[in-house]
Amino acid sequence: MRVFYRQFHVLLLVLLLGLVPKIVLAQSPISGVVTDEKKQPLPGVSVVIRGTNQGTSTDADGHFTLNTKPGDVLTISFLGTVAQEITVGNQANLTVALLPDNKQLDEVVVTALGVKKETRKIGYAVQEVNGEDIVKARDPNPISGLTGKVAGLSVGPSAVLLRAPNVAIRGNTVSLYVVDGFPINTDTWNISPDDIETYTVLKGPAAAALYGNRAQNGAILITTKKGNRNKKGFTVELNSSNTIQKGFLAFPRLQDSYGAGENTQYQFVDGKGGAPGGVDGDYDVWGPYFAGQLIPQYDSPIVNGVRQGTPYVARGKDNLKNFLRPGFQTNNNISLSANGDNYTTRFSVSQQKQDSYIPNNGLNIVNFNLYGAFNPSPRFRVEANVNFNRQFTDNFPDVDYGPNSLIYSSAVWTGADWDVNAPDIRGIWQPGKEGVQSVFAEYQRYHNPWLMVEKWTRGHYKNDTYAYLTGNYKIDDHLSATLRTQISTYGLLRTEKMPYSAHPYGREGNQGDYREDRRNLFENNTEGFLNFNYDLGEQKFLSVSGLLGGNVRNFTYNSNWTSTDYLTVPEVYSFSNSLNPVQSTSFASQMRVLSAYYSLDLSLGRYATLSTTGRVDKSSAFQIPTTYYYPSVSVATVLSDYIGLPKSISFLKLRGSFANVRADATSPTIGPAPFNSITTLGGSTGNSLFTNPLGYGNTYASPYNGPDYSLQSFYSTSKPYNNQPAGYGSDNLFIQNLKTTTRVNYEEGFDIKFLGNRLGLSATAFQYIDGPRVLPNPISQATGYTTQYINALKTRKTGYEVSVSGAPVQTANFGWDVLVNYSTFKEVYDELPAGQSVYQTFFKEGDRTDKFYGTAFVRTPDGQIVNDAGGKPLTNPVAQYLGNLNAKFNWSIYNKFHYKSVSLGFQFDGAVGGVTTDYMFNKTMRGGRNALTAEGALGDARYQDWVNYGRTGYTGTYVGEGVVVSNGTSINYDSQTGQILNNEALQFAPNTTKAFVQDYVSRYYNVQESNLMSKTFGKLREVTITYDLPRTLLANTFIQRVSVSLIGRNLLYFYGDKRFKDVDLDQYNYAISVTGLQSPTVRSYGLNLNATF
Amino acid sequence: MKKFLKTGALLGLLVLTATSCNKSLDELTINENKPNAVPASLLFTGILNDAYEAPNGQNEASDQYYLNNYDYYGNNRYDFGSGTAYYTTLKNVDLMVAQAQKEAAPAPLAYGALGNFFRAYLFTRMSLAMGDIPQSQSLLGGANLTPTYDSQKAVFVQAFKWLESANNDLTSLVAGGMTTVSGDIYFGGDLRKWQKVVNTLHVRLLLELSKKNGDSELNVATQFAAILGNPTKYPLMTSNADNMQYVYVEATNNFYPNNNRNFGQDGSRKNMSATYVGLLTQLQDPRVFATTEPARFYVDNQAQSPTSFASFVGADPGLDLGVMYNNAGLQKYSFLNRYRYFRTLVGEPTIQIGYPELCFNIAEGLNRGWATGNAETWYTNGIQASMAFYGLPLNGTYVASFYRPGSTDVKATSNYDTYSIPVNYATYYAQPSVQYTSSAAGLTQILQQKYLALFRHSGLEAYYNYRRTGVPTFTTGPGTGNGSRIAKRFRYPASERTANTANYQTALQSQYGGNDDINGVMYLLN
Repeated sequence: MRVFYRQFHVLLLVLLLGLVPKIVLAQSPISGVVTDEKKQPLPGVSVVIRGTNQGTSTDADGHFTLNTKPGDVLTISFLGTVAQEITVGNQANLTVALLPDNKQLDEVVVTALGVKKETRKIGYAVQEVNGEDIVKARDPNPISGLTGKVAGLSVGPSAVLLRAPNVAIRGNTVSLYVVDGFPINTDTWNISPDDIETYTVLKGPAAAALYGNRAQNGAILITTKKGNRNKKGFTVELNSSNTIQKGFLAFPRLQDSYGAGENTQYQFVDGKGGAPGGVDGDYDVWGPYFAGQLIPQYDSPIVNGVRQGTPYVARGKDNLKNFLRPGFQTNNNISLSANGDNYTTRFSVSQQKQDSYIPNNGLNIVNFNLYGAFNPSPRFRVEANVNFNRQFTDNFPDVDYGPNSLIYSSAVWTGADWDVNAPDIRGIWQPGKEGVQSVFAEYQRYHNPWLMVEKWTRGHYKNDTYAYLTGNYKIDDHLSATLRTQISTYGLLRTEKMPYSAHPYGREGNQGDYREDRRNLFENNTEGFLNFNYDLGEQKFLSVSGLLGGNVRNFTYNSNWTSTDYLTVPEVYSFSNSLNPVQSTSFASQMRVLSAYYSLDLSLGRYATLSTTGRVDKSSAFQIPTTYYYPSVSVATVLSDYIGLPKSISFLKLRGSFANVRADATSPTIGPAPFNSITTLGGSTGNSLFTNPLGYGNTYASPYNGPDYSLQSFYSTSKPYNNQPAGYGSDNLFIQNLKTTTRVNYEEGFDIKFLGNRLGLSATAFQYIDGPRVLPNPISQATGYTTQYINALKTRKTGYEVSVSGAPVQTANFGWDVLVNYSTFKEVYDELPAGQSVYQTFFKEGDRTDKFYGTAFVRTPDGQIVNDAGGKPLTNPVAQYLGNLNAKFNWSIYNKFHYKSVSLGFQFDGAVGGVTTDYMFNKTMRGGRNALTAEGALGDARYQDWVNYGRTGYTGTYVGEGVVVSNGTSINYDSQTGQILNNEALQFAPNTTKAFVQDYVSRYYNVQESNLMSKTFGKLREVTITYDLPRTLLANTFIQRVSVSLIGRNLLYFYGDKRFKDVDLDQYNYAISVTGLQSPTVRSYGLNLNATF
Repeated sequence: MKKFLKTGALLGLLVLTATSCNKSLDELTINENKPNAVPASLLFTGILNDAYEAPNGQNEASDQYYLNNYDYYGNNRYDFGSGTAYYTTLKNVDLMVAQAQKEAAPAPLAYGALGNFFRAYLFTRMSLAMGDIPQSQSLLGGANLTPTYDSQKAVFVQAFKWLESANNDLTSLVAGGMTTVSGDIYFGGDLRKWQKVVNTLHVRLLLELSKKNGDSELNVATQFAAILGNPTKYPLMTSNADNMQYVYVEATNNFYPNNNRNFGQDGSRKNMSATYVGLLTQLQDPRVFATTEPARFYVDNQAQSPTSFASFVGADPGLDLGVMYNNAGLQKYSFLNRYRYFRTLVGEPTIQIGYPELCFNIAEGLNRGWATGNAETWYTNGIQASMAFYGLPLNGTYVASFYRPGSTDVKATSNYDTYSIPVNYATYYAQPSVQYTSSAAGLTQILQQKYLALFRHSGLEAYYNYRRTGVPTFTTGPGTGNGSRIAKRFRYPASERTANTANYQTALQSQYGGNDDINGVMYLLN
């Protein structure tokens, strides 16, 4: 801390001294702004008075000031643009827009700490996306819109409202989002896409090393809109999108021929297992065939105390479809900007409202963004930005597997024997038992969907603010000082109102509950740095630029989680209404990181740019306060600048980089009740940030980036029995002097452009060597501990990214733009912990880390399934290799055609290769609801099982594939590999044993091999048709520009095997061995209106 | 200039305020949400909860008491995975003993004695499941990450030393007037009761070694005779009141695993096993009325009496599960007694180490000639104690309650049909199949009665007894898997294979031909 204050004093001194030159200026200068063709300020533009050596270059904001006299001719030049000459007249201010030189197209991109650099000088992979490209066919989530737009960036959008997408760069989940140079804590919903000028994706550690440990997985930099400084006066922009969600891409495939029950039998007694065989409680969908036969059902009349039979028919065919409704989403944004000679302001309000296609579920987001900048003097500039975001909803869906899930209750475990829109079901409550007892076909495990959406509600209320204040003083043409501070903070309240007669896992008392989950985070980053920029040597051959600075990060987090233990009075959701003592837990954490960093770029004429950065962090989030260092070096050389190349090649750049980043013991997200010890509600306790006192539903993770205390040893406590406190020692060991996890990254690439820069190709290869990391290594439990934290395990990740972009056809009226992205990577174990020949049971050195070992059938040497004497397949006692969990590669193709004022854009993207298992398929098969259980040989046998129920000696009809051991010999397995040890002693004969379908299916589909699905899929992600109103039409109005677009999103989903089209693979863009329940994914269509006044 | 100074000063002020800090980096590393030490009594409570063995799990299928009938929820296959490791609990035992030393008062010796009890209890429990295990080199943390395996014999020899030591320490504590410790969940901390548990376990462990009677280091018979011969030095449990049993508590959600809240999913997904019900009906044993219900198919469709032993039918554990589930759906099997196990939230207490088992263990030892004494007395004490546990009178009426088909609330006593069944212990005992004979047949009788008394109690004891003696007869078939073999042991924990490889391989070589084979035969079964 003291170091920082010293730096601060120096900085203040520098700022003050910098004022002196301003005071002695006497001559009348000319000042101006140089921008690109998009009116974006260009830094580093050379402004020289022709025929003299007097000149300057523009600052980071494109400003320059120069002493001239009328008649002087200014030559304004910048690489990649057409130079302009302007004769000085009487004007005091100049605005110059440089047009791109198609021979040498060169953009400027934002890099770490908000520093803009020419792409030609950058030695690592960066890709940029314009904000306006994703606000039209918008995804509800601002970050999900980036899907397919950047090679190596994979966005797995969640199908479920309010869930965050999994955003991964090169297979690692990104946790660093930077707004205008400052890291923010984001759930990805607290950003308004309408306020975003550009997204810049820094793919590797070299690009992001300046941000320290948070940047080890790359970063997404967001540059906000700041108002157009070059357009004086007042501008209003309006953007409005309205879409409906209708039509399903992935939907459970269900049968409607058999109802709920067991062993083809069903009758309703009390809906809680009171029927013979317990068939009316917690049932499967293995009940009777719908033949109109008379069966006592939940709504059958009771005459003289006896429930009568009523016709058993599929009255609830398509229950789930009938329950859902079209969703609606509206996004509206108004922004005002006002600019003057020495100020720029922008003011923006965005509103998003989603009415989910699940009834009575929705989400509202209001975002308020204020930006202001003013220049008290030409050298001094102050900028401030505040972004306030409120997410609020009284009810959002929870679909995670369990009785809390709508999908679980209406698509997986109940049949077509009840109708979701029947008046009694729709009426929710039993007459006379309003608020206490719902109506449904079953009362043990499942729930009336209307009870779930209308009475069992979950609220989410989050206020989220990030703001910064920056002062920049330009000491002279070569030196400027910046001092800035930022906050990122949120307050979150999540509630759950659980009515009487709801009974999720662990809360089977049916007496309701109320819960609150409150979380507060505050983070401040304060930093000061000096930017410098010198040209040295003859003809300024050596150009030196960079920065030097320091940062202090202070972080505090507090949360509490409280629940009733059942309610005294129904429908009163308050802690004072708790039947048993209230259960509550709290958590607090703090951390501080002190940092110093530098960045240095050396440009050697037109030959090369050498960049290096370094950062030192001292963090409190480790075993002991720990200091660690992140270096990076990169080189870029534009060969086409100094070597003769074939004419067709207009640009060729080679680049390479190295970086080493480290990670302390922090977690990007945090759960509801860290380290809790509540044992009465059926959930988890223990030493983790993610323990959840509840045994059901989604464990909501919110942004954190704070200490996880994983390297600290402490006792756990809980009250497992009769309210008596119990204590447990830590099961973790820690070696002394642990070092932070390390990642070394090498990256090589080239950018090539053809045909006068019409077509560009950018290719990157990367290698990550991860480790030795801080490894929680499983040790022999006989030590008394389960885990030892050591520095060990190296993995190597290699990958490639290719991006092709261009405008193959450009005529006066017609144009075609195209962008193709391709990326692939794989990661292998390079070095296992010392003394271990295997890691995690199966993995050896050189193995891919995403090899999937799962349960598999026992097979004969020629590959046939071996069955037991009952005709059911045997499962190998040792898990077998079933495939790799990551996709082989990801791809996307974006095309945009425009003809006069009309344009058409569309994007296809997807992934190829990799496997996972389909949980929905598994559950619906084993539960008897999947369509396949009523089709083909299974369906025929199932019908026979129903017809022949109870007939003496009947043991089923279905004969499963494969063989049985015919000579009575027992199979012996190798305990390590699962290989059969006594193959030569075994004789096989075809299986002829008949089996009941329910039992056979339950056995067969319990084996992961039978649910294994390829991860190859494709999507027609978005289509936009835009019409720009001709300017002539608007000529005499106050309106400057209007465009109208027809938009569509998630229109088509391509998947090879229709069995598995019940899950949208889109969201599983990471190594996961089993998918989950999800809301069905839907198509959205709509209209976008964009206008500028 | 003025503007700059103003704004600059404002900015500077803001920076200073925003970064103000009052804790050092060292202080910030600490997790203030959790304790760095806890009293010995809390560790004791934790250990007790860790060591508790609940009914209704897979153990009851392995014991052939209570069978899964629907594959979705489980099966009855003997394809055992890893045995349960209690090393982390044993580490807490060490921590408890050390903490008690630190606390000095009131009871370092008491926690020390209890610590030795848990060491004996949990190390042998692991060894019974898996065979040789790390013991002498275990629990050293980072000081020995790859503990060698001790032979099963060595584990038992050490266990007996610990039990001796615990017994001696408890004797001196009680003699010194120190009779309670805090943190207990079983006996309110009564050390006299704990001393009985120590010696009762001692007897159990001696019986586990019945095949090793001749071994001079184990000294099975000598130890047995010593304990039996000196009740003052080795106090043993004398009634069910001494049982180390887990009592369920409704108020704190410590529910019996079967209860009225999960009847809808658990009530019919398991049914009784023929191994258990068949033995009861063969012996005309009234306990069948307390623990199970008649199979409704025979009562409602075949008009058999609900109190006829013929109406109580268990499923053959070897039966194919598809067939069993279908039969269960047809009500052809007896289910767990709804009145006793599902009507409430607290069911019955679950015995961990109990008096009835002790009686049969002593009877068995006497039958084997390890000491002089009357085996029959202990045999009959055991039967009577077990029957008393179920509320069966020696001579009187037992009111059996069976859930009435078609009823809509398992909680309501009105939904149960009650039958007053005359129970007479003397009549029961007079049966040749029950009345003790001091011979090999008598041994079988003891083991059968032990099996009946262990129903839903003491974890895998019933399986271990079967494994050691073959009584009662366990059946196999497609439903029990493992090539129609009853597995002989559990595998070692997976972490042994990756993190203690050399010692693990050595242990496999010396015991099971190098394979972590569930059909391998461990020392005490040879």
